[in-house]
Amino acid sequence: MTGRTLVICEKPTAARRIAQALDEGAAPQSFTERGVPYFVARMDGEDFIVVSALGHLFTVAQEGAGWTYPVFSMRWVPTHEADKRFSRTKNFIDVIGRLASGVGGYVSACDYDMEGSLIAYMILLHICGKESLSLSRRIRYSTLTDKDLERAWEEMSDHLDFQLIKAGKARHEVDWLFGINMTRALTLSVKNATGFYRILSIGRVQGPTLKLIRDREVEIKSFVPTPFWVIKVDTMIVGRTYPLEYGKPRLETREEAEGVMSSCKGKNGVVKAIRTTRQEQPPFPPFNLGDLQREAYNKLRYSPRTTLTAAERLYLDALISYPRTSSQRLPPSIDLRQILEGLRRKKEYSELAGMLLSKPRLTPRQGKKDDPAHPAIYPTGGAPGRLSRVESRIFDLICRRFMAALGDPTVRENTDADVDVNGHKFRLRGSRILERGWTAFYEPYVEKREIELPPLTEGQEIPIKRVESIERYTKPRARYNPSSLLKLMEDEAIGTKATRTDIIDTLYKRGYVENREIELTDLGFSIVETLSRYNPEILSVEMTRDLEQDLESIQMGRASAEDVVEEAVKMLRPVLAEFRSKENEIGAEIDDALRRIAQRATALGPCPGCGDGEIRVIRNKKTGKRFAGCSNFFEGTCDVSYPLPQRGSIRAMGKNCPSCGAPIIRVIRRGKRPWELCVNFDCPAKEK
Amino acid sequence: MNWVMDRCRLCEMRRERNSDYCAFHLEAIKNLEEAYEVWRKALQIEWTEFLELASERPETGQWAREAAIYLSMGGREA
Repeated sequence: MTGRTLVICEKPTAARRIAQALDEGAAPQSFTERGVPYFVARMDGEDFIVVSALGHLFTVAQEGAGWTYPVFSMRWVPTHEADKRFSRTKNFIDVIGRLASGVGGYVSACDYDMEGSLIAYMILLHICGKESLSLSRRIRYSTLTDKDLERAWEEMSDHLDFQLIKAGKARHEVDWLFGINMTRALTLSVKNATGFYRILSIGRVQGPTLKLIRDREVEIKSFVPTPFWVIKVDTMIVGRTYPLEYGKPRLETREEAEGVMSSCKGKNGVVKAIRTTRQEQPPFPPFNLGDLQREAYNKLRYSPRTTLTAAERLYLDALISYPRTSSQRLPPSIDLRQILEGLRRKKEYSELAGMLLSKPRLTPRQGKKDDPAHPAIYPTGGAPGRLSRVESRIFDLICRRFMAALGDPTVRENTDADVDVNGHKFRLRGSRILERGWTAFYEPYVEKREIELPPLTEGQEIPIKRVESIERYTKPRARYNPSSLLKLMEDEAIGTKATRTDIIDTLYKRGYVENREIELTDLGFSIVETLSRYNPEILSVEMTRDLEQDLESIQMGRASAEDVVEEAVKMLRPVLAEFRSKENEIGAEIDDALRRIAQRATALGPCPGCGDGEIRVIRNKKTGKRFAGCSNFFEGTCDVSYPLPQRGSIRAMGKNCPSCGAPIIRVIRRGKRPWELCVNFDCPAKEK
Repeated sequence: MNWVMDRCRLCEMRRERNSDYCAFHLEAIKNLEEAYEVWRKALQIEWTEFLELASERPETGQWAREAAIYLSMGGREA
């Protein structure tokens, strides 16, 4: 390679780090043109222009005009042409175009995955020209540390990773085909049937995900609990209370439960047998992205999006390896000792890292899942600068999990004693840690479950202190939360590690789901119900999974991208034809649901004045201001009305004021604590 | 088709063929009937008492509660 080389990165921060690693003096020249940063690094007498994209600079768009469906002709266009919100990307295209003129070679230095490879490919193809593709090389790295980047540079491949590029391109095209056609079909069905226009969209993976949420919602809403009883017995040994577990965890009738209770009351227990076992619990493997997101949700209550954003920042700061990985494995090429030396310099890990460094051999616990592109997430050992609270907690989680994976198994001694109370069998269980092993490193995130029992002997009598029969009821399965939904999508093999978080976010943004414990909204419900009735294929997990496998086959070189896109078109054609033939019914049904939703959204509760009317949110046509009034006002039979706060959204709480009977509402304003109040300005309770 | 005739007795959803209820309330009624067998054995109670108790349980789903209240007030079974 002679003369100048253009190095294409995915993000400006990565460009700066790569330029620093390349430059002989670690001080590349830095420039900014029309808001686009770029760097010139000098190495072995050669100039390397390191420039960054801003994510995808090119996207799929419709070939030709017209807002209709089906549409199967597409082309790749600059992102700013397809969507005005991305107007800033035009500057990047122009600046890269100018910098590319006269260069002798190109290097794709975007993140090593499908999206990164595609970003660089599209820049090369559309900005630098087709001939640039044969002059392009690819570096592969998992961390943005100087050492890893220098190694990646030395081991650079002399061609682009065309399998990844083809797979990425096909994925974008297939997603576009599904998204554009289904969105238009849904929107136009309502418009053509009723004249009402509202964008209703659904994507290839969103549909099946929504269906999975809907199935759980139906299960919860039609759930009927059944009663059962549990026997709670406590014993007192050497001044301490220990719970005894009854042989049957659930009793089906009240009579049986009361029988056990009265039989055990006032009696002593007799220890019949004691078993002691030693249990070794190996550490957890290091994190892949899904595991990290789940653990951060379970232990820190961070949403998958928050965790991913924090992890990406840590990666760009060269503090952790590439987070979008499926791997739970650390290959031997990673210098574990060097990382631990780095962590030892940090006060909170100093002692822990020292413990590991004193081991003669470091063998990480390896998980089952692997990723051909990247190892599991691990800290680089770099010293963090100023981190936000979220970033520092995610960093801590990753560091501790990494160290725990290098730890020894935890050794526990479990004691299990059979206790007889007047002919009823109970168990007394205890557990104590003999060797802390890996839990020493993962301490803040380990659930403690130690109950240390006193020495027991067979035949020993133990007094029963409390006998209770507690009536309980079965519960429906929990609603999904962002973390469990992510796991479900992983298990069902829909979406990819890179897209699942975005898909969940999109469901929230479109108003199909709400709340942390994911609840399907009326809108989401009506879309799923209508599609289930008329176009169940669109919601089919199997169809999405099959397509996902086809897309993966492209990456493995087992299928051609053209065939997979063609297959998607073949799948869509009959679905859309069927949709078209039932467009009026579908449109009318969705419109009906939308009207009910709109009506419900304005209903606040029953009118305390006339009794048979409903208090609704009404807008004054002249002033545009809102107030609450009885639905019987227009019949001339009731004139109850109340002023409403003019800012924020209003939600009915489904209850009425105990003082005056008017509906209670919740006012939600951005950045403010939600505010619950009785709509009646003159409510006697307010005077107090 | 008459809008009201077409609707579930308990909500505004379209009713199932040969039934007065939509698919969801029908499913809820089926669950109530199944659960009643367990409640009857456990607590020795009658159908109406069961419906009242079940409708008051916080674990009972919205559709099952609506169906239980409706049936306890003398609504016909599915």
